[in-house]
Amino acid sequence: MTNGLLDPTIVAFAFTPVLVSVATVVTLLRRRTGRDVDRGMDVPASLLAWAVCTMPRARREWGAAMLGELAAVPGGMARWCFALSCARAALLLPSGGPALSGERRPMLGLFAVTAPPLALPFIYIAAVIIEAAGAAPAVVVRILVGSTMAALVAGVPLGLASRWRQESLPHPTTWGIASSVGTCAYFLLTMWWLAGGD
Amino acid sequence: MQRNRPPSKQSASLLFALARESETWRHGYELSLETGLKAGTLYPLLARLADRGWLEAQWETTVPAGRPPRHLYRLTTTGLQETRALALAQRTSGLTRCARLRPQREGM
Repeated sequence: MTNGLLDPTIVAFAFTPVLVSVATVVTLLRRRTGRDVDRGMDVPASLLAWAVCTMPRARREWGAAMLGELAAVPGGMARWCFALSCARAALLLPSGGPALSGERRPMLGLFAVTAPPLALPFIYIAAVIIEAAGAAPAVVVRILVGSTMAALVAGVPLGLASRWRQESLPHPTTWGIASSVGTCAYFLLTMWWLAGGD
Repeated sequence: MQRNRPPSKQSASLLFALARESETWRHGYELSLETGLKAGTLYPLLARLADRGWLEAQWETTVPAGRPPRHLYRLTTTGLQETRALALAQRTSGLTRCARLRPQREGM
């Protein structure tokens, strides 16, 4: 069975939706921030510029300061460390006051897109652990299957919540529903195919 | 609501670094190297100090071609006073600790 779990087809089944989801998130962020990101920037600077674009307007000056400083950091590892560290700060820096509607960071919206596809690697890794550890108690299996199912449909409530919060992501409900429906369809079709369906 | 908690160890090290050359405008990367604070820790601290009115910031006026302007920082008068008070408090608490330890050592 473990050999079955390590089969490239099964691994691809579990991880392909995550890659698609990451690509979608990057596209959404690029669309949202494209105007602010300079095409001539290197990868660390682009990454930081995207993180800065999620900052509330009241804090953008700090983001611009981080970007200006990054330009003076010598290349290589130091640039990457500085950019990643600043990106973390840009994403987590408190707004310094109540954020205006439409300026809220699109955290729920991004979770709406990423949560359903993450359910598949989650259940895959759980299956590998259970397989390696031997038989798991029925309650553990039930909890794992329950959380997977909850994550598969989580795109819809998270997308709705993101819209209700007026987060700054275009059409979060649509993206959440698309993520949940797409991942569920993918999951069911693959199960049917693996079961030898015609 | 503004909370007036005593500065953390990292805030204190940043304040002391800024106070060392209180008249000079300093760059973020330079402060990061001097204090050993990562950028992700340094910038939220700088923002918090600026919110409290302890730090003033301005953009570089002369910028070399091909790179964006950098932000410069220095302590305000209030920031400098608070840093001096903090340094004094730390020295006093250090002396008190030493005075408490001395009789113990002498008794050994």
